[in-house]
Amino acid sequence: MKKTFLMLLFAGFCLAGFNSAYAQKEETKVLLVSQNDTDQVLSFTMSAMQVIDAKCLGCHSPGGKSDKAKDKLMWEKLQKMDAADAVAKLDEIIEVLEEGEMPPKKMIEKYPSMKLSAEESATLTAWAEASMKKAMGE
Amino acid sequence: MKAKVIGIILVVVILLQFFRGSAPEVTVENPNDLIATAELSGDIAATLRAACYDCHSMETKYPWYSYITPVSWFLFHHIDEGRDELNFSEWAAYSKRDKLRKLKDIQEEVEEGEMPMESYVIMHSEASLTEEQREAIVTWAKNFAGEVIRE
Repeated sequence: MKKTFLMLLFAGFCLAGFNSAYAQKEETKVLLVSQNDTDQVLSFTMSAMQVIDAKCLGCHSPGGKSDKAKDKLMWEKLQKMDAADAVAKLDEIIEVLEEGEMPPKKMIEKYPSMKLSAEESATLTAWAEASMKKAMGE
Repeated sequence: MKAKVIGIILVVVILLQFFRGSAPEVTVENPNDLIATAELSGDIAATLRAACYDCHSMETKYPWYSYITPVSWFLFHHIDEGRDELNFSEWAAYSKRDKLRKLKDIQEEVEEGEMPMESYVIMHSEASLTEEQREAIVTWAKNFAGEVIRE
């Protein structure tokens, strides 16, 4: 009786362990498409995606810990926005990049390597400007 | 002793009145004005005027207390900042991109109750927005953005 119970308990722990391991593996579903895919309002270039992956997705994705960050911007939602909303959000992103507000100062104090380099900022800005033009039909 | 202190305060207040600061300009004829150039319902136009136009347009109406320093300083600062962020009198001159950004900001600020500012509403009860009025503004801004993007 005791042995069966202990084995069941052990099995239960194993299952729980596997479950949480898989949960952590869930990744942001951001669609990476070529710039020529005209079906999408927004598409991500490889270079922009590299920056976003390295410097932004930690907070601005479903797995992020900050509700405030997720409320403000979720990269995967950006792709699903209608054109008017997308333009507004891209404009905000460009402003934030210009002001050097992201990643947040507190994050950079803790992890200095998270700071956006001038090149990374320029890459994202260029991508945002191009995406905005496309969204406005220009 | 008490009389002396009050006396000093009074003198300071009177002296301050010579430093009211310059009130942001008011112009009534604004060809680029939103209400003049877009087709807004009477309700929306009225709400915008009552709750927004004092800080977010050139048609500011200065109340009596705007003549009292240092209240005037806060007021003028608010109006300058408000117009900087969004000036309905200049609407038609905004780029498409700016219009879309501002319309989104309007949706967010009004929905979240950030605008109009509490300090303004306290002194202007007609600026207090009901839930229905807020919803109406947000809906209008969203729909208008849909029009603007197709321009």
